[in-house]
Amino acid sequence: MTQTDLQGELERMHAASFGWALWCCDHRREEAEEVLQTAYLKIMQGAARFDGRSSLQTWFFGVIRRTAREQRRRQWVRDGILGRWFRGQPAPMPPPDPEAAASGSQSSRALRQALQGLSARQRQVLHLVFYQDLTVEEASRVLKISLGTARTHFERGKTQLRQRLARPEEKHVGL
Amino acid sequence: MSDYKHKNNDPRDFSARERDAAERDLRARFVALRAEEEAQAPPFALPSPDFAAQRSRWFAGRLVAASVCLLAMAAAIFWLQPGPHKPKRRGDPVASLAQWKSPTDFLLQTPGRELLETVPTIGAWRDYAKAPRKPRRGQPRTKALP
Repeated sequence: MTQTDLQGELERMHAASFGWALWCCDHRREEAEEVLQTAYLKIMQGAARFDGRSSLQTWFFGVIRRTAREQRRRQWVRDGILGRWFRGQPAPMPPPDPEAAASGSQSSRALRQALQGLSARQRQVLHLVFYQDLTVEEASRVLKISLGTARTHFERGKTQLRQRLARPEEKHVGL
Repeated sequence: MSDYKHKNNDPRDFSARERDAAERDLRARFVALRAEEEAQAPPFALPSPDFAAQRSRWFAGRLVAASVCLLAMAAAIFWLQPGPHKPKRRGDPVASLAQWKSPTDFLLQTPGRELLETVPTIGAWRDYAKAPRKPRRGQPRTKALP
């Protein structure tokens, strides 16, 4: 695949990639944009190379997930450890974008709120399967977990999400 | 009762249908959410040269910091490494090994040692009982301390 073809594919997947980056960054829009740009840069500079072992989308989503994790780690070092030295106390992680959380239809807001109660892994598997239309196997490849683990997260996540959506006002205790 | 009716009344089939419906509902909610979020996505743009330069600066800075740390550690190890073992010197230096006396030599001064140091002679009588004795502990002192 030539560089031009790759750029065309990235452009075609851009909206979906942004959605995934948004979820990897807990709906912090600025952080998601930076993660996506860094992921594009990795590909342009050859730091991340597509070897054709999986689909392009699966591979690129894996790059985004890793980049988001690196970004979070860097931020944790900068604001956590260095912040403790220079300011005396670490800066808390910025909360999810309130505008994004409040925007959208009532159904979407309820879904976002219900998803907040799930574990990060369950959220990611559900997102990849329902939102990005991947199979559970592809989701397991993106998240670098076994198929059995992905299935377990998928089933438990679905069950919990259904319960939370059925009783949105009730406070659920994590299982 | 036909097989069809029997199958439809099976509670397992009912729960499976219910599950499918719930999954369809979840999928529909996610599709709606995706449509909303994708509408807010920024336009596609590859990273600008400024962004790339900023990233490479950050990477170079990290490399320099790591190198400095490594050098500092190497220097510390070089300067603080222990040399060949040297015994601690106490007091005056000893000229030779023959002059050296152990500080625990007094423990070898046991009572009755003179019996072992002298050779008895036949016909001569030596009264060892008259030999000067060291005062034992607990005996009253004859002289007052200065």
